[in-house]
Amino acid sequence: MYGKPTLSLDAVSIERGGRQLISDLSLELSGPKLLWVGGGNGIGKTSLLRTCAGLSQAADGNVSWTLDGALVTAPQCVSFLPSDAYAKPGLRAHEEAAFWNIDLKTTGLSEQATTLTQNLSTGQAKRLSFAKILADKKPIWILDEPLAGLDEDGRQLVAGHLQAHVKAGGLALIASHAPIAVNNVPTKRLALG
Amino acid sequence: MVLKILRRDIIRAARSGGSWAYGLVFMAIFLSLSAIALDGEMSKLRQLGVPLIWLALSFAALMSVERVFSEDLRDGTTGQLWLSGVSFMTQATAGLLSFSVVYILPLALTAPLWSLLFDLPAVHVTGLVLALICALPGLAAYTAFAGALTGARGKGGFLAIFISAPLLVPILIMGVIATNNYPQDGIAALEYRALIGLSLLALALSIPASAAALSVNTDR
Repeated sequence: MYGKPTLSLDAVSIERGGRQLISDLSLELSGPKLLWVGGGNGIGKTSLLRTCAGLSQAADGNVSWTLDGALVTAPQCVSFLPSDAYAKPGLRAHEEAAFWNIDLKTTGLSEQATTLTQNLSTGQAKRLSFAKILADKKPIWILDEPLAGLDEDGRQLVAGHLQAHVKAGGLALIASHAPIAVNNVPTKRLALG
Repeated sequence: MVLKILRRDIIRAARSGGSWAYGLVFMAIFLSLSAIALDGEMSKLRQLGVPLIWLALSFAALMSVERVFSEDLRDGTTGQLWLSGVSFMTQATAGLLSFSVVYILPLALTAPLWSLLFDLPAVHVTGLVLALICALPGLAAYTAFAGALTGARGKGGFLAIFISAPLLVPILIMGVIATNNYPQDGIAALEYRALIGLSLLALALSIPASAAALSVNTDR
């Protein structure tokens, strides 16, 4: 079980490349909860998720994170899965895993332990990135297209972990064009655009 | 985490098909062509050998500038490390250390080899290696800082060279003087202490500045 995580956006505006993507968005989310961020391509989903993860600055407004009411920083409570895998070419999967303190078994990659990461398939690289989210054990997951490149088994694996995370009191923000079968957890939708 | 990043970068360099040696290849070509252009005249070669080796090493270091921080910034590793609790200051220190070991140290260690091209006396070679060791942290620090500033852009190499080249000038001047004065004054020469001072100053300025640049460049 996690402490109660809360993500607050206070009148947040987001700009990219001189274009205003999101204007004056206020939101308060507490675990256990799953937030689906929806909208078409280029509407600002990734920018919003990066801002919520503390990786991008909002043009205006404020983003804050709390755990059991105490203000914390993003690195203390947030894990972020980018849409692109970030495994380093030139490392074997077990070396990449050791670098990030990942257990390859959690995402079914034990057999690929000695494979160079550039030789992993898109789905296997995605599993490797997702394994880091599991290893972090943080209460706020922010996932950008977590199913991209995954096979049916991989999709079920992500859905299962996601459901367990929210049921344990966690908060998850997800942008995904593919549906994820997560049931019986408090869910909210945010449609951009 | 600093040692983990260093280990990762050394493993990747070893499997990169020799990309870490581009600077060495550049030095070999630049110095060989310089020796040929000087018409193989021994007196000229001995006189210009030390400055040319320093110049070649500085250029080779600048050519490697895109290899420090750039990939981590572009593939999102810098942001992921920050979210994992690795501060930008730690990342800047680790990046500088691995850049020094993988790209700059081989340039300095091969200086005696290049000295053969210019028929430098043994005492000058010793002075050159000692001066390079004193200057290495400074060379690496300013180059790495330029890499942190421009790394997220990709193809920022020329901008990085414009930024770091003026910062390298004092090190270049002191390095050449220290090497030339070594036969008379030895390691106690004022210029060696000045080189160490310049390197320490470069470290003190570049690590926090690189950390700030990484922080800004993580926001893409």
